[in-house]
Amino acid sequence: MIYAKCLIMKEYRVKIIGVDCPTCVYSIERELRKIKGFTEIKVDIATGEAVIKCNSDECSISKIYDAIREAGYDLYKETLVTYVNISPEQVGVLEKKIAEIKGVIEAKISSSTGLIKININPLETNREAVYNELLRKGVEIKQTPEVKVHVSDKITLITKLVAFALALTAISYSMISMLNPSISMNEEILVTLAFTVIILNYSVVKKGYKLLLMKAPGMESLIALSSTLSFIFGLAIYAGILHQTHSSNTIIHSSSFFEASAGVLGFTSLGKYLEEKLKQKALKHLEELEKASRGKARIVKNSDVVEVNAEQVNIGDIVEVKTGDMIPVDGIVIEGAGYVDESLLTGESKPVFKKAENRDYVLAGSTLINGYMKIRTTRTGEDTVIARITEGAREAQFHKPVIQKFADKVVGLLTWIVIALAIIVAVAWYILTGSISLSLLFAAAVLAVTCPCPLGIAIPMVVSIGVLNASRIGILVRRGDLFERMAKANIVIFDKTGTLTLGEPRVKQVILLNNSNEEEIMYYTCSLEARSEHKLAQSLLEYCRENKYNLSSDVSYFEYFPGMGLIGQINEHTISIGNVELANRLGVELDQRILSLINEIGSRGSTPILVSIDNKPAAIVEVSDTLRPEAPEVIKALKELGFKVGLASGDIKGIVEKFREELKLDFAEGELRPMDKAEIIQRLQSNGGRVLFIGDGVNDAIAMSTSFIGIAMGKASDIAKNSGDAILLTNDLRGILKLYDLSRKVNKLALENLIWAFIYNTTLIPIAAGALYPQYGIVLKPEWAALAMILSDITVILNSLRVGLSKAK
Amino acid sequence: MKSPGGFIMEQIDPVCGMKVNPTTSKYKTIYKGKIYYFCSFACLKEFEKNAELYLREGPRKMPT
Repeated sequence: MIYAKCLIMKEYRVKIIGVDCPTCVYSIERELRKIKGFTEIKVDIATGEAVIKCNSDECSISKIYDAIREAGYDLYKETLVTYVNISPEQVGVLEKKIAEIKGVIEAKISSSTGLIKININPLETNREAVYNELLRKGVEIKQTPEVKVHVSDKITLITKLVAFALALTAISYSMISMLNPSISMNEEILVTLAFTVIILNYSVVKKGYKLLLMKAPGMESLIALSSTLSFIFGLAIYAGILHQTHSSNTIIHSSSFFEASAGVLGFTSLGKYLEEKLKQKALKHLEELEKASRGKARIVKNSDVVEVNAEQVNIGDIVEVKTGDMIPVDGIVIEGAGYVDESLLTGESKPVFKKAENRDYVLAGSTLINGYMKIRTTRTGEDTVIARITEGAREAQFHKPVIQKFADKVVGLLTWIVIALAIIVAVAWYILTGSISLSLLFAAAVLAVTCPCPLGIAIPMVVSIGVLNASRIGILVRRGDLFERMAKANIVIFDKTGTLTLGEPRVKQVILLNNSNEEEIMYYTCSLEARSEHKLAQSLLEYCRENKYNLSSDVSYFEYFPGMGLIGQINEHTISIGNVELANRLGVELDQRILSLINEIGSRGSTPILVSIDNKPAAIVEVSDTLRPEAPEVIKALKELGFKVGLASGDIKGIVEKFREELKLDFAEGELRPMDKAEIIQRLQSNGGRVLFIGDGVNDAIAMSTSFIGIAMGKASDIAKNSGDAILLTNDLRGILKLYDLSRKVNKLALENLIWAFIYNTTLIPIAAGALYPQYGIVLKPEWAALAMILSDITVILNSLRVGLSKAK
Repeated sequence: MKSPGGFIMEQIDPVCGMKVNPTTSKYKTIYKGKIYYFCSFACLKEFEKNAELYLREGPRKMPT
């Protein structure tokens, strides 16, 4: 017996504000390492969302919060404000009690007024949950708390716009006076303008230096160094402390340093703001998904209707939905009917009619376009399909391909290299020209032109948008490297039932053997099949319903063998239902007549199911399924794309062979159990194949996990139990082609972004350093260098947004 | 619970010798009319390759 040493493993999901490049992550991690018990942090730079893992109680969310703030960043949080009845001596104890509530970052209580302010992590809890927990802990609350979200967006935009306008004024003013010497320049105006821009961007400068002091410089550090050093040097010349020794140079003017300082900060801060807005726009769909899983619900209790938050609904509660409402829970329609828009979940824009008579399922996040329904809740909160989709989209974004990991390492070093380079450039130009101003201007330009961020967000940004775009076309992507893998896959293997076929089989005939009685055989068969989840079981049950055959509740034993069938005991009789393999293993003797009947059914493209009672063959049930109408075109398209396409099925070889001929498949193997499918995949992959397996996410879990990529066919209602790297929620095989197109686009744009970022830096850094100055007299002034840098940053985001424009065929 | 082979309490994985709960085990197979339960997919695979050996000589060790 093996005893594992148990460790407390805790996981916090947070959203960090201000993270925009891998160096930020590095500096945060450095601070987090100081907390005892911290083990790991994973950050998605595109959204700022992070997962922090700890293995000790000492590693609390409040310590994590402090560490992140210490590193110069902040956590996305909501503040809950209310009043409590409390005596001053209780304050300390209550603060501690509240801090122990899951998702609470910190709590502050005013001992004089009883005002209580609780910062909560919206990714882990919500206002209502904390509020209820306070009540549970016996806290007397005086009024309903309100939520204040930390957003000062308008003020930020105005500040950035003013700084940008002032920077532009400074540059224009300086240029006009340089081009037209008759206009005398008032340097005080430039000093004031540049100083104001620095003040307006105080937070950027502060963050930049803080990161530098922490020995983890980021883009802000380069910008802060470039702008403040330019400003100080300009002041030194203006005050006469330094003299320009290279007066013959017409480009360099003492005012150049003020305009550089203003320009670098003004351009970059507005640029970064716009970049942030673009990012938010790109990831809006994730926000929509999250919002959709939060709404309100009306619970019907006796004759009353009570409105509560969706999270407060319990399984079994009856929820009322009216025209225009977003459905708050997953459940079954038990009263009424209506058209439901499921586009947020499946990408299908056509509304679906759902009614109580069919006991149709409805999903949280879909909208009742018209009608009225009462829904019995089957899933709430994290178990709903929409929560799984959101979770999947989040998880996928944490993925980093090898190339991105390399880029991250480069970025970590790049800022140091650039700072060193700026020093070398300054020294070298001073030695060559003897001009301090020229050498410092080149150094400031090198600092301003370097653009490490696109290297960091090049791939995560595109992958994030790709994952969200996939969910819009009805594909749930569960791993971030799926797009990368799709491009590398070279073999496609389909499962048959429910994948290549519609998965709605029908019983065609029951062939009786050994003078048996159909009603008796079907009574045993359906009684056992009622316990099975296999698609073929549904057809048998349907047949029993149609023929009004009874079912027994006296099943004393039941066992399912994937890929073979099932066995069970009813009224002391042992029943086995399945394929020939199952019969052989159980020692059921099959004569030549039975074997030829089985083969005959197979050659017609149907499935033979052999029923044996007490180890004696009793009947063969012929079940047939319809080929998906889109299957031939999808297989043809995949073959044209260069894939080797095959079939791996548990069905008998006759049917499989028929499918191979009809669909012109490269190979087809039958009579396989799930583990045999996994073995075939393993064999192909050990010979250099990279298999994309498409099948049933429940029954083919082993094959799915063995393959290079596993894609599950699944109605959205089955999502929770499905395995697979992706799930086709629309249950349409054309989703594979859509996913392939999307993957190609994602890979192409990710590579373009990365190449662009590398080329940009390797081309413009030498120019900024003055490489073209000796021969052509070209000087890239710091403000223009900064403009180029921020435009490059925005280019990467805009390029990533093009993924969203791809409309798959 | 009763199986065609008799009452099932705790079963022994025929490959590695570990105790397996038949009601929760995902890995099982039928061989010569009898049901065998396994602790892992690796043991099941190993049994399928050489069932006679394990039935004749008893459990050995966890397959690598």
